Amino acid sequence: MNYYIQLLVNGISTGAVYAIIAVGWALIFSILKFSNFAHGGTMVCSAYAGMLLTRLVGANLPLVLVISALFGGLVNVGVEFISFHRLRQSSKQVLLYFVSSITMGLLLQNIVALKFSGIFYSFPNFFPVRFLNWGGITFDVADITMLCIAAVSIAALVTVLRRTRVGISIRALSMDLGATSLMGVNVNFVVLTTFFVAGALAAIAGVFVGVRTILSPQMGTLYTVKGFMVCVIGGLGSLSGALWAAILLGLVETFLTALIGAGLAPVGTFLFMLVFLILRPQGIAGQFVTDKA
Amino acid sequence: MMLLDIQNLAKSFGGVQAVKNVSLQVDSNRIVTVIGPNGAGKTTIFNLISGIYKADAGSIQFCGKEIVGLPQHEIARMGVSRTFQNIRLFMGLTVLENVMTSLDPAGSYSVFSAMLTLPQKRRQEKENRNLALQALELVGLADYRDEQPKNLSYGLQRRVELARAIANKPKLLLLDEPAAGLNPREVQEFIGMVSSLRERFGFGVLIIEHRMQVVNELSEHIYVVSFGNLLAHGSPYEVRNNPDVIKAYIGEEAKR
Amino acid sequence: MQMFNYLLSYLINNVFILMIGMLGVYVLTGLTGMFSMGQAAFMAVGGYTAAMLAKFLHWPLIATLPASVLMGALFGLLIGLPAVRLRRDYVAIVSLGFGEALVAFLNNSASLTGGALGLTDIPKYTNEYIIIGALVLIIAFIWNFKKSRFGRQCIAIKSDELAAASMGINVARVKLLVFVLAGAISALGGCLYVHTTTYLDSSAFGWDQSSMWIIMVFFGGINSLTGSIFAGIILGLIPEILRFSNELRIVIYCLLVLFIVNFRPEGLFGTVEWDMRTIRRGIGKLSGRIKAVRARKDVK
Repeated sequence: MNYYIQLLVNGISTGAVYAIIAVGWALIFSILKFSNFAHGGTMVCSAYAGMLLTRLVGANLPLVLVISALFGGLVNVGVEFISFHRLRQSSKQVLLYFVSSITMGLLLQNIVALKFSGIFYSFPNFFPVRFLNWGGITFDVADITMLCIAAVSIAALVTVLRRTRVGISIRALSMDLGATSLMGVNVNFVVLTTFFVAGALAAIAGVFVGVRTILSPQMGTLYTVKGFMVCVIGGLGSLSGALWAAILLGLVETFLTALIGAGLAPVGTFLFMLVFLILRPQGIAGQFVTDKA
Repeated sequence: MMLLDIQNLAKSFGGVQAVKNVSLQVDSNRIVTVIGPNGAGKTTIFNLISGIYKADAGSIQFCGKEIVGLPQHEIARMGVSRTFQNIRLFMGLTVLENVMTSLDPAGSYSVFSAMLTLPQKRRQEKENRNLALQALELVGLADYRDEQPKNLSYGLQRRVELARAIANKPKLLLLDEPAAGLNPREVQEFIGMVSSLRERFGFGVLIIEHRMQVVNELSEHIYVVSFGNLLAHGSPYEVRNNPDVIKAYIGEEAKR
Repeated sequence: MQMFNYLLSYLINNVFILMIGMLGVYVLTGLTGMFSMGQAAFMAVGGYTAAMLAKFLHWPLIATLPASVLMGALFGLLIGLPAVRLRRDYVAIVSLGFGEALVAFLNNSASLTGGALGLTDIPKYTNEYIIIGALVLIIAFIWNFKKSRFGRQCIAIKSDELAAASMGINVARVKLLVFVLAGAISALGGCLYVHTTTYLDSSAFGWDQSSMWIIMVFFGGINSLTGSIFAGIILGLIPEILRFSNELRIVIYCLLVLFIVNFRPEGLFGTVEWDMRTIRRGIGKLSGRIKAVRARKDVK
């Protein structure tokens, strides 16, 4: 019994990481209607930046998180300028955004690999006591902290979206870009803000991945793929969907890993996703939009 | 047997009932027009006929066969061709290739024939090329055959769409606001074209239109649709003088 | 001269083979507009099939080749069946998931496939002529395919699915056909890859390779087969010519692509194909210009 609860706890923790990534991804998709495949690249850049920071300031988690988040936000803004800015003005072809973001992601990942590949880097231990044992179940303090921070970040995001002007602009943009710009909203500013926020979230996720596991440049590709999967299952463009889907996927993966091993888990995940999409094509929270003929 | 026989058609989207109860008929060699205010459900009727949507109730019979529920491509292959309100030409194909796409589904050579350029493929390609060219000549665009559609003016693009729709000699032609965006001279040319094509091929034509010029000069029978219901139908003269129609379009005299 | 020979050999043995795999992406994504994000997995299918048949059953090339192609086609069918029924964006995730799943599977089924270490000592059946011949043949096939009713239907579907269906095109059937074809083509590339390098490891078949192919097809101009070929050669060779570290190559590569995205989004060739007519026209224009220059010189 304890074993299953342990798995549950692990699954939720994994899901929390996915949630931070996916929410950032869904944010960008909801306003721009395309998938930013460079998201993982931003994440890995910020994670390594955070690691470098610890060399300077030591194991100071709050500081590292904040500065990484800022860094991630800036990187993501850069991504927007290089990859998407001109495309948004001219072309509407989805394939172009697709290729542009994939390339950007590859670029970021390989810049990191250029400097840091070969050796595995990791964060110093932020927590004096890493593992707590309670009722026969081991809790990773890092995971708990991350869960709290994830919850706080997402709650903060939701508050911003609901209560602030920028937030309302973002939501308006997600519904109708043209009309929003006609309402006097500076679309470019809002888009950049969104990218910044998404980048900050990616950075936070990156730091935590680095804390739970080892840092490697391949993280970028790996989490890009995961983020995409989560968003599709959650329903493209839906933030709440992304949240639930992330936790769901985290649980599924953890259980699958326990069942068939970490190596074969992706196969199970893929089949799960396939079946899910066939049964519920719009994802958890998505909606069908029919073309006007 | 009527070419197209629609009885009591109904369709709603969520809470909106786009089509409430429409019955209309089109016979071979006749030109029928559907008119009505915007939002009356006219394009929805077209989309129901061509199979983009499935009707909630009612029946659509084409050459005596029920076509409600059939997939789009099957309905098209039975002989229903259409054009669209917003021109939907295929970008990436030349004008000639665009027209050939309506002949392609009926082609019979296999993928292997295609990849190895077997004689059967070469023969069919040549035949289809000629048929497509003929269609283009009928609309006066033979010289533009190798152009990219996006380089043509709006009026010419409309003609390409028309050529594409008739290249496979359909039995029923659906034209959705074909005169939209055309200047008066182009509209006149267009009317002449549709008329002569109909004489040549004998298909039935169902047109959605707002331009009175087209409606008056082309239609042999008019259906007036408003808010998803059939308001009136008859010859142009009858419809013009129908009090309900006048009320819907212009309003009635205020009571003193 | 040494350098040239080396480059030529690299071109044929590496670039050309990977280009065959890439042409699968051309057919699926470039022609028909379906985002194939895991196409390299089909190359893996072909490669592993050929490797195992050749190594354990001692089949010759003449047998492993069709076997790989068949397996590729079969997997194309398997993945295509659900993919064409889902929304277009979902084709991306299905092919991506398949790619990841397959690589994970191959990495972990050590007894069958050598696991992450890969099979080694696979018989080397290919030589330069076979590779060039295969590439030319595949290009010819795809060219003919594009100029046929199938090619037109694919482009129609890519441009406007709704209108295509109203022309009588059976969209789901054509998409499925393309999946099968693309799988077969990439698998063929895999077979040749395996018989050329004589060892195989699953890292060549992952997401990085798939994205490289998408970038190539896009770089050349999505509709244009000629463009994809040029892009394949250029983007395949440049990193080797600039013999930097692996990561730096990719960085330069990415910068190049991002430059194109920003300043020439339709790709190098756009929709232009170098078929007989365009070449004749090009020659005509060129000779016209030469005549004009000469005429001006005479007047002076």
